[in-house]
Amino acid sequence: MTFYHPQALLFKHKYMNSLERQFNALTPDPEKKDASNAPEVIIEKTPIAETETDVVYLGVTLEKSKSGDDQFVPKREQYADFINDKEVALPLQRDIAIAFLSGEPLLVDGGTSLGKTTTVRKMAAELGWEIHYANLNGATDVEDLMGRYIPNPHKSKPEDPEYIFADGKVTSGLRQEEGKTKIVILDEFNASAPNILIRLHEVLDALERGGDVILSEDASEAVPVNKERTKIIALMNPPGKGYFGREPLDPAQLRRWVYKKLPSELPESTFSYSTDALFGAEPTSQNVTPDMFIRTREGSLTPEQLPEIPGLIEVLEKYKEFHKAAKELLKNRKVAEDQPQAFTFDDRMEPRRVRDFVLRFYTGDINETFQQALRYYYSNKLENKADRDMFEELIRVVEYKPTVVPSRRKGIEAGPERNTEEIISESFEIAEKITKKMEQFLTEGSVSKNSIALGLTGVGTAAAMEMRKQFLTDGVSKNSIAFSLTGVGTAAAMEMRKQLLTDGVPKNTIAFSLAGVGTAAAMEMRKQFLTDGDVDKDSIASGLAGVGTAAAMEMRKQFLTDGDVDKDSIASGLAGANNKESFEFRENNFNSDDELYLKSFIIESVEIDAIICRYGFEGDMSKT
Amino acid sequence: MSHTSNPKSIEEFLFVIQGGKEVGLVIAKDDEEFASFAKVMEGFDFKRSENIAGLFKSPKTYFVITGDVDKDVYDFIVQYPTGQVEIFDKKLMRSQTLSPDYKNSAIVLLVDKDNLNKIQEKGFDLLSSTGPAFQA
Repeated sequence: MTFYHPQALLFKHKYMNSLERQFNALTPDPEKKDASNAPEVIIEKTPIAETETDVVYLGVTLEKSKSGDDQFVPKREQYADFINDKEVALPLQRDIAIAFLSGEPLLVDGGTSLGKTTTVRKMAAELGWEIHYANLNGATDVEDLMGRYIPNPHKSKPEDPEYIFADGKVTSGLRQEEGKTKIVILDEFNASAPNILIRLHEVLDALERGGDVILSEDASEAVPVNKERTKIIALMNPPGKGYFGREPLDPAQLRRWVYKKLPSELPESTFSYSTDALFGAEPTSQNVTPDMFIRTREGSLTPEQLPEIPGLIEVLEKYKEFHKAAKELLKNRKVAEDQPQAFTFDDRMEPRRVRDFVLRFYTGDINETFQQALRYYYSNKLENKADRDMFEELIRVVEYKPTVVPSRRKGIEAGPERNTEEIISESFEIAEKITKKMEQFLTEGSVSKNSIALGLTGVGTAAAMEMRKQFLTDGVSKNSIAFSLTGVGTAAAMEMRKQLLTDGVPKNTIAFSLAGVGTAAAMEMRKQFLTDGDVDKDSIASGLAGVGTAAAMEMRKQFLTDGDVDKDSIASGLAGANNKESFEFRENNFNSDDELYLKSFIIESVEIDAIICRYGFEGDMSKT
Repeated sequence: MSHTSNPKSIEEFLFVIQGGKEVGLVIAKDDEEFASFAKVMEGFDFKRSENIAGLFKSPKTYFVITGDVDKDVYDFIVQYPTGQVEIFDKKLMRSQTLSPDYKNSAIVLLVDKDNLNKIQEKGFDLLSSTGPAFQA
């Protein structure tokens, strides 16, 4: 059972929730009586999670088919060695899942070695969905896709018709059948004959309208279609670039599709990881960062609820500017310069898609949802990393900045306003008092030297340093001395740490003793430990407690990216850092996990606790 | 994607492709070599298949491409590594789907060099769509 410090609970509950609620009225509020009516926010932690009824791809939930085995459903065992790398396979599955969920036709443009078709079939195997496959390269006959009259193979009586209509590959995917979901794969889409493209676009238009596909091939039979039950995905290799016979599609034709550009070749890092995974040197599913997840909700907002989202108007204004800028960059070939397949950002389709994305995925943070939509509908069309980075900068501007209401609450989250000089002055005063008291204990002989050493924790006065040196000569535990240096970042303290290392004190202990010290020298020592490699990274993460500097935040982010540090250590190592950046870090990385979030306020070490008790919570302790 | 393997002989190549997840490609430089390769494959229990459906009837099969590549053949080759193959019968307008048994099967395309070049130029990229390739 986990016990949370009441202050930490209070902090999260009162401080963060109040801010969230100011920011967004649609955030489910447990204190409201009607909260039970609010949609539940679902967050997944493993890249692909599966239950009896659903499969969740980086947070995007798709419902499994209720029908049993079918010849069109790929067999799961065929994909036992599928590699879920974080750069191509996992984001592709997430984006396909978004398209399937929203019923939008998706066009994926990428090199032949990326496994596009295999990825779609693998997802279908997991979901129990049917695949109806049509390769358009070399196909010239629309009737193969849509159907034609054939001699009746079942004719046994004179009254039986001579000819019957037989569905084509696409029509069979459009027919709705109880309990079935079907995926129509249109492979090598850009190798298709023009007459086929025209016919397929009629199908897409009918799906979008949610009406009927009129089969001109069958005396204008109307086939009811439903994008909830039929998913269309087109795949193509990049035009040119060694793919003979692939001409760029007319950009106007692309507007019907959500266009996703994949690399032309497998990125080097993905190749390396996938190869290692195939040989068992890496797990078949790569670790991912939280920002790769889409947060989903059960059900969608209604369009009528949109205006209730606080900040929406501000975000919309910035979105309009973004859309214009994106179009301008594309028009002037400042982005996508080397992409042979031209495309546009459509003035009507893109805003509608972004709106539908917000309706479906809004979970209480309009900035996050809107920015994810822009990545999905705009950045995903770009291949080049520099182009994507440029868009990312623009996307980050599309945000709502709420007016910050100054807290009137006294206590840990606000406290009396004091400037840095006052804080430093007060801290010195406290340190002097503690030093004097410890000297008194030493003179009286009433307390052991070991206890006095620990009592000096966080105290960096010259007298305290002298006492430590004497204690080392007297044979007091070197580890105790190391721990007593916690929170002390003076040059003398850093020198003593180096000496203790030479004397055999473990790096883990020294790393931990750096808690509360955010100086350049301390950061250098941490980095050196990481370079040396013979240190437990968790100790370094925990030893960042109380440090909210930019360098410390970067180090924490790196730990998360690397994925080899226990998140508990990163969380507890954030305790005592209460500046703006540290709260952003909590929000970005721990908001989906209450335990971690709370842990990030809890001090699990008496030494660090001592510093906080002595110097208080204000800001970054390294300043004191 | 095809890569040029460098086995010392077609016999070695036929051994290597067992259990692979892609269709193998054997490229003959002339008619004589074409016939010779076919004979070796027969000797290694590879059954010649006249149509796509026949490729699954024996654990080891080969398919000869002499003229234009049949659209069905191309569709088969590109789907084979994806875990599921849908074969569409244009006459009956009916699909049949098959799951390749990679561990216990081997499928080879036999084609002569000139013909392969013509097929490639028509946009059927056999070299990219097949797996291991052999030419003497």
